[in-house]
Amino acid sequence: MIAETLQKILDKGDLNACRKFFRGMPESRRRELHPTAAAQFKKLKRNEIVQVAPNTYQRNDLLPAAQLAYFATGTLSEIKQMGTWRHPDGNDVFEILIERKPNWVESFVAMLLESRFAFREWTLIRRLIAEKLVKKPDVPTYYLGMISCLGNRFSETPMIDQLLAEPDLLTDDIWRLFEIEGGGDISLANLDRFGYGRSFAKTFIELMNQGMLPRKRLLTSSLEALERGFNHYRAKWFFTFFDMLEPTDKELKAERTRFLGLLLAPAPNVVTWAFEKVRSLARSYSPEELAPAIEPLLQSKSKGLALEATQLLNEIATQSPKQAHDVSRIAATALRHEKADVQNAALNLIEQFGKDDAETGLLVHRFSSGLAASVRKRATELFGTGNAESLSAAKGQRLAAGKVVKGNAIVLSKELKRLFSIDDLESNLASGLLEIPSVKFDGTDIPRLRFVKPLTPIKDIEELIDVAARVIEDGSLIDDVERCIDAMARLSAAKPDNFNSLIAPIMKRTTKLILKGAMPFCGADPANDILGLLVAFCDGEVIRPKIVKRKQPHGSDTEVKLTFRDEEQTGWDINLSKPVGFLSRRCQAIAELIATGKSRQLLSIPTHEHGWIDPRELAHRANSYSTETPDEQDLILAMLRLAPEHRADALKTLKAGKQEWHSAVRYALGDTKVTIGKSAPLWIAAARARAPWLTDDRLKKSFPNLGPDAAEAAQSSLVFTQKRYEQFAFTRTSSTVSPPCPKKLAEDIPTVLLHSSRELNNFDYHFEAGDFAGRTNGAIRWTSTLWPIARDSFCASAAVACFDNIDWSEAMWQNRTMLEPLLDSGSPLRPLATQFLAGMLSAKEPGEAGLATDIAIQAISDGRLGTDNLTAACTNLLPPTGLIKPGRWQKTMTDVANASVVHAAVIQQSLQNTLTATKDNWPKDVGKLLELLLELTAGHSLPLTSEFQSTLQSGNASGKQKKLATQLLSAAKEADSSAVKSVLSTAIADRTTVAAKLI
Amino acid sequence: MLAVPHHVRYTAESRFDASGLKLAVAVADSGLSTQFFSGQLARPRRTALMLRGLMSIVQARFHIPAAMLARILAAADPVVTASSDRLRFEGFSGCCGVYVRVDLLPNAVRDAKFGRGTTNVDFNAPMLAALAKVRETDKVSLNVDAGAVELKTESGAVVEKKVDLPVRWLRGLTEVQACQSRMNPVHEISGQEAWRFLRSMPRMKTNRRETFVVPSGRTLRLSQINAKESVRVGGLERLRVLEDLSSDADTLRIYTDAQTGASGWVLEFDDSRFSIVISPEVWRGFSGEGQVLQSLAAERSEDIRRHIQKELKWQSVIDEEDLHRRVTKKVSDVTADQIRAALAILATQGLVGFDLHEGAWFHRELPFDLSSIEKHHPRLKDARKLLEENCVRTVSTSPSRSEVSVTSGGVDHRVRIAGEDARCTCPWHAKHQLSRGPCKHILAAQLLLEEQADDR
Repeated sequence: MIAETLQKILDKGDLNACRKFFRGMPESRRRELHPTAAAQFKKLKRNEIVQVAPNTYQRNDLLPAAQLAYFATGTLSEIKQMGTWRHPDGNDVFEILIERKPNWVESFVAMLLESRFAFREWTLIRRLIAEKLVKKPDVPTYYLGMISCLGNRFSETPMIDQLLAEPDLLTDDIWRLFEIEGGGDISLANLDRFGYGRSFAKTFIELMNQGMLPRKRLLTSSLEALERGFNHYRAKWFFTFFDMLEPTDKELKAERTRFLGLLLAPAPNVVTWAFEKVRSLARSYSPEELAPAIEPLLQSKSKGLALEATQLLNEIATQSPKQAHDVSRIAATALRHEKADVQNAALNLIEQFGKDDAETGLLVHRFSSGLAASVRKRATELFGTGNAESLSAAKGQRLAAGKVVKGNAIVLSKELKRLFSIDDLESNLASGLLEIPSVKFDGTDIPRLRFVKPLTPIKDIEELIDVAARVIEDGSLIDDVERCIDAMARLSAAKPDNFNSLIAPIMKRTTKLILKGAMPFCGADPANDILGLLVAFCDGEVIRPKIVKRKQPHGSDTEVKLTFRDEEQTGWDINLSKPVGFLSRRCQAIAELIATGKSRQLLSIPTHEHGWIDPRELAHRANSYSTETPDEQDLILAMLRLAPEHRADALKTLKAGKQEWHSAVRYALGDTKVTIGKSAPLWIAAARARAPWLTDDRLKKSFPNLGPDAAEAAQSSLVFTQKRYEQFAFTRTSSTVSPPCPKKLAEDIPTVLLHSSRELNNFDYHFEAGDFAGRTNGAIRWTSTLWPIARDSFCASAAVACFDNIDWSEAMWQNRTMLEPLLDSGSPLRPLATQFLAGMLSAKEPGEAGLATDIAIQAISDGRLGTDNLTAACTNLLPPTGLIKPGRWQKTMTDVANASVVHAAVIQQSLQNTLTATKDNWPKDVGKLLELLLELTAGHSLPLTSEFQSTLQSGNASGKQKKLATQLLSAAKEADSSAVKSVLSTAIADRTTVAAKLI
Repeated sequence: MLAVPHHVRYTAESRFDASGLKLAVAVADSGLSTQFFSGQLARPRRTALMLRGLMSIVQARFHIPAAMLARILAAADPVVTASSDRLRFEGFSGCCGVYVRVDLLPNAVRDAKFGRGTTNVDFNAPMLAALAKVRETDKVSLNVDAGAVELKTESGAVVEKKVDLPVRWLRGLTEVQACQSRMNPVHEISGQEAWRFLRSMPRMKTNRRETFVVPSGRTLRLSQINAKESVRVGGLERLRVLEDLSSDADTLRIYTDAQTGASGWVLEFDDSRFSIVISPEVWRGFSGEGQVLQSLAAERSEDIRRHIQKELKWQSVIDEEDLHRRVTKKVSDVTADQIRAALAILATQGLVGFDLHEGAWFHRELPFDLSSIEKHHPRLKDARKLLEENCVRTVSTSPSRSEVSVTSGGVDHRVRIAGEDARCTCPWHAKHQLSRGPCKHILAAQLLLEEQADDR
């Protein structure tokens, strides 16, 4: 009966009635009612959010009463199963606990404090403490709860009133706040920062002024907190608070030893703050205690702090000559610092106070190998042997390079020498001109297959299952993706007797993945398409996604829908209009074929990595099509993937055919005597494969206005626009392309789809759907295999996508993959590719900048990146765009320059050329680049160009830049012609080795 | 989550004060010296920094799985081992992905008195804060014992810690030793270069992608390409602990395990060493590495292990050749490889640790209840269950290749074993191949084949 009454209340969701119902109820009765309450709670838990009107959702109204009933009848273990976030309101919990007085209330509080949401329960715990139901907990989360509750900016009661209302908070709890660091969400630092005026620091000071908190203890507690080694962000609150207390000189002096101790604090901002205090109290310390305490600061990452420390050491040694020995020894440890300025300051001290000190000399010798190039000479002058090791190492490197050239017996043809700019390098070597031009090939005039590995076709079903099992878990294994597609098309008609048992495990996994949301043939990811192909291969069923209207009132008005095993799934349709959509549709066409049990040798399967097809193999495959017509998408892709070599041989072996596709393939291979047919996609692919960089006038007449990289070769350029949103300034990158894109891109012409910019798709969903190449690494890698011979359009779209996120405003982890094609040694770095690469050297995300660095190192080694194209790219990017952060360039270019003398020279020359060309428009922190130039010039005895010297002398620079300019001009006087020869000889040797691969 | 309750009792708290550093170790049950160690630190600041570094790893969780957001585990205190000439402090991160060890060699301490044994040592926040202030010029004594008398009288307190140690954590701590034994040195750079390299590392979290450390002239640099001689590092933030210490180090040596991609980083000083071993990815703990599973599954090595165990006498460096000679006297036809495999298994039982610098094992006995680890190894447990339920049958077998069918999850998985190579059709094997050890189906197949070989 009573259970029925409860059920009625719960069915109505009447919270007040529920409260009344349980009020004064004995424990035994409560337990009897628990099954009813639990059943209702579990039922509603599954429907926590309900739709109350079309597109309107809200929390289930019935749930609060069910939660209260569950809590009012449950044991601790049952309540634990609720989850703390489903507890009833704090007042209800308090009243229930007061009435029930369970013996588990301490454990209940412990559970609350273990939960991440404990801070919300602090008021409840305080009330329970006041009622003497529990003792005050002594765990950090209790005090974090206090911080959170008192700092709640929505609370109507001022913080000071809350504190004054409970005296024990002032006598005890408040001091514990100085012992607890807190975490990401809750800390004194965070609450004060986002408190909108509600401030712990101000409240404490007000209480101090009212005499409620002792000043001395506040000062001491702040310093003790700093000694606990808190994280820099949270530590800042304590030293800021200390300063807000405005300590007197006497109070500061009383804490003088603590300040010295804080110089060893792990948080750099605490060290800087403590050093300020130490400086102001310098006279109160003895030189004996001060000098050693400063030593750790000489290793500070902050150059300014390290320099200030050397200044203080100078003062100590000047005032106390007895300390000169110690000061010079301590100063010598600053030679470990990576900044030349700090090393120079240390040498100043050593020169002044310890030049003849043996112990200092030993330390200088020990750290000499790490001295900046611009400091080495001075160290040598001071201590003789200081940099002998480094200099001899540099000379040794040069001599070794020279030997390579002498010992090299490789003979290259004139054409190869021209393509690799070796003739230019030789002429520069003869004239002593330090210019390292990049290679001259455009990617169509050298054999490309020599730079990539051949792919081995899958031989049988067993191997197919092994490879496919791997690929469906990781779609970025693009070569294996293509091998699987090939194998399924070839082996679909020859299934062994035990086929069903062989495929059972992979089909189980395939089914699971699709039912979990993988969308085959929707341009999502190659792994998803392999799933679709496996369904066709194993079950003979083709998944056919359809584009349908979306019901939602906002966003895109269409979506893609598919049905598999009677379950419907929907997803983004945006990617179907990108190149990866073309590749997906190709897979769907193959699925249609293999579902019928027919087998076929596909034309578009790469013979080599990165999508390349050996033209001879294509001819061989094409000859196997006697009467059938290949699928058009397969044919288009096959032609676009053709390598430049062996085309004439392929043309000879290709059988003549009457169908249009025969002529198209012949045209792609270079045959001039063909009649242009009717299929625009087919002939455009043939023309792009035949001469990617040229406009095909015949096709232009037949198939006009289809967009860039259709009949006409695209001419893209990047456009940078500086924009501002509230206080944030940022640079938007877009590209202009000629001929312009039509309003809707033809989805069967993949080269045109490479220009599918965000504007043509749906900008709102670019985070979810990715940019022009999709959202996953696999989709991007697959897109890059679409047209491997010409990557300008890929690079233009990639640059737009990556540059817009160069400061990592969104976590677009897949963007880095767009750089990968540039690793290919046969892929020329034409202007767009070089701009893309140079821009990414300034990326914030370490993975993006790191890969760009790797590519730059490799490209300089194989000659694709030289002083000419790097200068052009940098000149375009540095001044007007706001895209480049010189500090980031300094870091990545230093890594590139460290690779070899040639790398150093390419960077050094390109930077000076760039700075000369942009002399009227240098960015604010160009000093970083001048620092790098100085180290490279001094370190490798490289010359400065006369134009750059004039720029430096012209006096545009001021302050630090002027000082660096003077140092640079001075370093240039030490330039060594043998260094230039060594660099050029090494470059020639490196290029010869790469070019020899093509012999 | 499986967990093993672990109770530690300290008769005092560790503390650092004017009289020196007093590290309280857990009260001995049996067989341990009361006085673990006492001596004077030769380089107090360095040792203090190393001990702080050790604790920063122990208290770290570099990766919090989504399902555990609300629960930050209380990891166990570090472990100290005293042998005849050195002290070793070992710790393991809460996320099971970073192992850390501080080795204080004979020169690191003066007037040293060494006991022998392994036990937990209390590291508390006030002591760590005090350690941060130690200067090189300070005179600091170090006492490691079960409870200094003077401390006991001052506080009169007994510190008890009760933590439930996840089996995953225990398994990781033991697996990491076997992992180290497979590592080879890859790079060596000076401390100064190491310091600069570590300082130049990005501050952004890099745990979403793998990064490689490659040589660049005299130093190292980060690369995104898995080239020859590169060391894979997931989550560079885990190396940050080395930064402060490296400025004073002589060298940094980097080791890597080609099989798993885990790496070992050893900072070497003239009198001590600071080592960390990191898993290949932040989210990947050492507990999931199952390279010794095959050995664990094999019952034959038990006899060898028993004899090796008798030879363990708190050696700071175990001479494998000497051990081989000794064991051969008792068991015939034992190969050096079998000794090595047996030591790896003993490592997973917490009985030996591996020293990368020495390239040798050392004896210590972890003070945890490790009896359940092997029992609870999920893959091994599942494999044995599959065998018990008759889900494993041989399809074909020849001296060079065997094919076994394993029925699991409603389908028959085909396991093919040919020499060292083994393949399975399950998704786990598709994802990891053998890089994380064999899957349960391969293990079950191996168990069956071993049984059949015994029957023959």
